[in-house]
Amino acid sequence: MNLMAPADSFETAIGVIEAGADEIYLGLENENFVNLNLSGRGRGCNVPTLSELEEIVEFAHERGIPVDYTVNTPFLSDELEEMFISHVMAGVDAGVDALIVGELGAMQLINEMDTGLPVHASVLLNTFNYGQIELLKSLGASKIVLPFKMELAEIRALSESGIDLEIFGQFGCSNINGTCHLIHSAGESINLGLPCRSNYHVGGEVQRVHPILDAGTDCSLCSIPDLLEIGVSALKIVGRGMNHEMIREIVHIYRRCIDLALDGGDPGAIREYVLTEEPFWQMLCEQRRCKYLKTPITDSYV
Amino acid sequence: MIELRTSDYSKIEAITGLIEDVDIGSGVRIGVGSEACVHKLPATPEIAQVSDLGCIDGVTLITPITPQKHFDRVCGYVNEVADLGIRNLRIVVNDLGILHSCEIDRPVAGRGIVHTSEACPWVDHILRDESDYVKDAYLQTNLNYSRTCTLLKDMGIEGIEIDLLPRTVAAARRLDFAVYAHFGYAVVAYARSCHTARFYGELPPLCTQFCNSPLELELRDIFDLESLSFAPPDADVAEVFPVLYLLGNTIYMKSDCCDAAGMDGVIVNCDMCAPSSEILRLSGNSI
Repeated sequence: MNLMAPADSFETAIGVIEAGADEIYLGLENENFVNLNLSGRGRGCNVPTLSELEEIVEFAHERGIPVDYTVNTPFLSDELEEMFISHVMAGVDAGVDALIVGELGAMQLINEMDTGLPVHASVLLNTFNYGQIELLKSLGASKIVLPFKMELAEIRALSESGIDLEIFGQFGCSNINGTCHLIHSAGESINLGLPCRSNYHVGGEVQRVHPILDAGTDCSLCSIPDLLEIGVSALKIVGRGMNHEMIREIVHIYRRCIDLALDGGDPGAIREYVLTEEPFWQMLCEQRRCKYLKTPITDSYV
Repeated sequence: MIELRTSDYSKIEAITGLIEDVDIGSGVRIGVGSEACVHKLPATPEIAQVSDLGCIDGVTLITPITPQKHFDRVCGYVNEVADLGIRNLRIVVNDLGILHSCEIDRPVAGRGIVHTSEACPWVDHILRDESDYVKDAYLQTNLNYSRTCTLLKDMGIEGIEIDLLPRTVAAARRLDFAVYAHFGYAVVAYARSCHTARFYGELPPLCTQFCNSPLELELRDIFDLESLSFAPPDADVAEVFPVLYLLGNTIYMKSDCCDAAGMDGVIVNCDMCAPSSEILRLSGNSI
């Protein structure tokens, strides 16, 4: 199971690779947009220039690290198609190793472009079940990024479909990613915060202030042995546009925990390691935001 | 066409009473099911019972986004319903895996498949600095991209459901599909971990009693990403952040748009607001 880390600059790429990432993923800014992008994330979450992207690819490849290129806009139109093709080709020409795609028509288009690169189906396609995996396979996907909210038994069942699965390890949304329009971190000039983790006054008969939309799951360290056993292809860390030092530290911790598990460490050993060596992780444990363990958040999965 | 939709089957009697009391012409349907919760699907005999009602012209079954652990069961259910031979049955699909795997006669793609950026409450803020070219491109549905449109047509889709939002409606008018618009409320997000279930501390599937009417949510404190703590929203945020409505695992915002001209029908969610002659009149006049 590879550890996949985000990068939004040469500096971040160096940091996460040195911290132990096996693969990195990144997007590229596009001059046709101000706040939006074709990379599935907004301004400030992408590598600023093509030359920096080329530098990152070269640095990564020298160390045997593949680079996945995010062209996973969840929305495309006929008017934007030429722009999208140019954006994809910028990454292809820079030497990236795979394309992460987030829209069905875009997936067809990329197949027709015949870039020679594998196509990975983005989390934004909300692939919850075997039927959709079969559909995406028929459209040329060679790897599926599963939604943030999956049960271990479901990942195990889907792993039998014969396609590589990538899942999220650290951080993640409260709502179904490709359906959520509480958009944030997209270059807004007002402070919306994180809408799903905000406090709301719940009206009607209830009359209570509560973070009612907060179903964020943040950590999967204790599930690493299970994920290894299932045969998950990659464990992905969320964080394009986030604090570089924090991402580097998280990648370092996941690297240590995966290695511990590969050496036979069980969830108890992993937990002991992280709470001893990285005391700040205690806060995450106390919040019970475990992605693949039984918690009030996962118990409430429909 | 007006469709009165519910996933609380105790409301069927009140809905049929309203249809009989109010003269809204022909083409009234009743919709049952859910866009995002497998636990709100009606039992197959209930669908047959609704279809037997003399006052309606058809029944619509809404099938939800379907996690793997329910996938085989929902596939079996959809095939079973399709085999019932119900007159004027329309099946709405919100999950691409279900669409790909089930034999459905002339399926309609629901809002789990058909998206619009306009469902972001602050979409104009997000688009504020973009060129008119980019703005126009984003304020369409995902099916306005001809490749996606063709793909879904090839999968058998003959109709779509959209939010009744002005720019979404304008974009949908250009599509070669039957288009049904949801009156009154637009979907902002679906969740897998049910917010209502967590709030009431009752686990699915035992929680379904709590989502027969919406909870109204008013932003009190934002979760600030810099300080990782709560803070009151400033005036600019307060201006763009609407009251949200939570029904089960689906978050909505209100839409005041009443122009559904050119649409093939409007859908009124009777779980979001109690059905009344006034709502029927408004929704009927919007087409």
